[in-house]
Amino acid sequence: MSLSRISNLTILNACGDEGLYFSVGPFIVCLHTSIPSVIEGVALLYGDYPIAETSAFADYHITLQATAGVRRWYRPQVNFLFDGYKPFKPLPLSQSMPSFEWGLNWCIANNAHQYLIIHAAVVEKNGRAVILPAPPGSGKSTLCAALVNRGWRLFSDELALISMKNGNLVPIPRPVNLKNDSIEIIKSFAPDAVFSQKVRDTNKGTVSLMKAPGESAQRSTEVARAAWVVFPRYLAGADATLTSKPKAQACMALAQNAFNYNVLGAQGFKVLSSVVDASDCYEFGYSQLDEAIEVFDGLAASV
Amino acid sequence: MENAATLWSLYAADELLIRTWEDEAVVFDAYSGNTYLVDQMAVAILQYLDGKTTPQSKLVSECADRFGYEVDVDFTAYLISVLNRLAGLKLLHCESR
Amino acid sequence: MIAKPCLLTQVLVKPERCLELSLRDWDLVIRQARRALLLSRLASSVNESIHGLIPDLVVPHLLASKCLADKQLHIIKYEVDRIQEAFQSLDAPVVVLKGGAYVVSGLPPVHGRLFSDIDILVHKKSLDRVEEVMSSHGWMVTHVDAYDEHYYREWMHELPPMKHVRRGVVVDIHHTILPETACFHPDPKKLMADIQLVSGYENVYTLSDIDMVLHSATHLFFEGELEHGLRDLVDLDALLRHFSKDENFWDQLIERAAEMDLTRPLYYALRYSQQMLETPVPDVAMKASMTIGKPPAALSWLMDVLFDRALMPDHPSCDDAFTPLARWVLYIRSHYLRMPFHLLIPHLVRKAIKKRFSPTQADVSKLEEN
Repeated sequence: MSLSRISNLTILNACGDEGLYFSVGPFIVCLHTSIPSVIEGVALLYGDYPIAETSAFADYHITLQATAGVRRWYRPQVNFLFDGYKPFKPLPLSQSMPSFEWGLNWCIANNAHQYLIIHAAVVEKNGRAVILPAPPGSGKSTLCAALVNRGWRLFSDELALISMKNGNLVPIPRPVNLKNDSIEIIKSFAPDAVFSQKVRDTNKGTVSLMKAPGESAQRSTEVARAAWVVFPRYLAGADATLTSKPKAQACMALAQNAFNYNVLGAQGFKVLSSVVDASDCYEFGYSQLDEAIEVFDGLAASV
Repeated sequence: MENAATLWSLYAADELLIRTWEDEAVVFDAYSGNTYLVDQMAVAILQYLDGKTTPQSKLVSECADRFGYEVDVDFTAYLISVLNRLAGLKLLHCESR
Repeated sequence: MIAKPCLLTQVLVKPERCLELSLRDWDLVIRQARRALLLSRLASSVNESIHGLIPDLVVPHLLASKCLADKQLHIIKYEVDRIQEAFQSLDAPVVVLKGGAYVVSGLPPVHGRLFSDIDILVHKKSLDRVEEVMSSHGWMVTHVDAYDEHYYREWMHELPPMKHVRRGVVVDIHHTILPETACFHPDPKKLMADIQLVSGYENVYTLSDIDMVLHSATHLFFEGELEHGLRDLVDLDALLRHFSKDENFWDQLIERAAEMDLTRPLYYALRYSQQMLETPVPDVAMKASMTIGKPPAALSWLMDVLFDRALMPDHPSCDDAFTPLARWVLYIRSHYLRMPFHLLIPHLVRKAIKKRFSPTQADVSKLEEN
């Protein structure tokens, strides 16, 4: 049963009481909060996600808590807690929902070493997946948001999870984090897409979370193999062009973009190099989203 | 100062994983936990030194042979620069004679 | 005022209990273990052959934590090699303490242990030269102000922590195991006289087996802020079980404690290790330790109340109403033990201010820029 089947009041009560247990990809999250924007945000953006099968166990116990004391009234703030521990400085209360997203990313990146975790978007079509690694500001999330609104399935816009057991890419579909101009660009590109309220003045500027298409949440147990590694770079005025990238360089770049490659040792190297071996690797320059989609669809159609 | 008699060996034998694609390779050194991008010449050296210690002169001639180069001053200087780079990364150990 | 028992210690003491745990129990024990830095230790006590008998949801957490421990083990070994290299130009041994010692010697506490810094012991007279060679090999004294500099060198009996500029690993260089202001005065020269060379190394040493136990006890009960109290107690328990295979061990331990003026730390070590982790301490040894090391009744009672709580994982499920107070009292005590009373209050105030206004926590929105 998905979260959309229960009322916001039920969500509110759960969050304040035993916690709201829901599945996000392969993980079970238990959320405690009484902050209205988080409860509304979860109801809006995670509506298609299953309520966890059990409330006896969670992978990550997360609390979002308004800071007490003077801060309750003067410039209110939010704290992200991982099982009672505060790894971060407080942020303005208005950034509560993005804090949940960023904080959950941190929990996964620091703990889920059963996966090789790369800072990358992953999308899939026809059973084959593209890994899109990119440093911040390269337009990866915008491109990812566009692709998933044109028939590609969202695995993730931030965390590529590669199983250390078998090299499969594992979906962890989450709201796509869009910033500044990208927000309006994608709203025009995909008028039916659902967005959270804009949150201004964050460290990344104005952010808004785009709800993952329903299909990606519903099919979140379906894994895939990587077929392509594409390093995107938005270049104003550029035609959409794929340029072959030497695999050794692609492998190094992936290692450098991985959150936990350094922890995984030889086994991490073997898994990473196997993924590269099985994939075609490219640099990708683009400026127009429609052209970019065409190129990716061309890849998906290729044998 | 290296010379023809300098002995070269792997710094941490049994700890290297190498994956080659075309003319480049990625090397994982389990001893340090570091990963490096290297060229064919470096791979040839690392693979040749697996399980053995070799005088520099022999290494130079083996590598020249492998890639069809002549053992001249330029090639020798180039190979020594590769050896020094690998030693700086603690992938190779050298013992001067 | 006995503290409530904790699921984690019950499972650590009897690993076979994990087969009886419900899913909800596992949820709790993983969380307690994670906070106590003992998740990988828990994982290493659960044999992989029985992973099929425990809930599927649990196994990834155990495997993931073992990854981290394995990696850290590698890092410690690598760094000790680098320190040995740096010391080549000195005529001084590299004496590794605590976690580093367990790694190089392959002692039982190493299984699933998580490490932070590397601690080494040097002669006081070589401190300057040690600092010099370490600096020339890339370890730099971490940015400290004049106060902190004085604090470390004068009161903490160590150089300020040295961090490697590229690798980021921190080395703490000590010249004794307790500050000069402490109420006990173990002679560092005696420790250095009994160091043992580690097999497979040219110049890496550890303290003698007995001294290693005493140092572990001293560090836990008289040095640190008890941040990782249970982990340190688990180390102690493992050392005691391992070394006590030698039939002379207990006698030698009591004797050396008396010689080194460390009877009180030893008493606390045996008492709490036995109480919490069921360490098999022979009655004779326990009685001997009590005779020479037990504090007066009132103090003993108070320490029981405090340590019963503060040695538990720092997790809400392990707290009772007195736990926060117990931790606070021991925190004050740990600083009081290091410096004269008239300096204690200003020092603690300064620490509190620094903690409040210094950005020691990360910014969650900058995750991807790390």
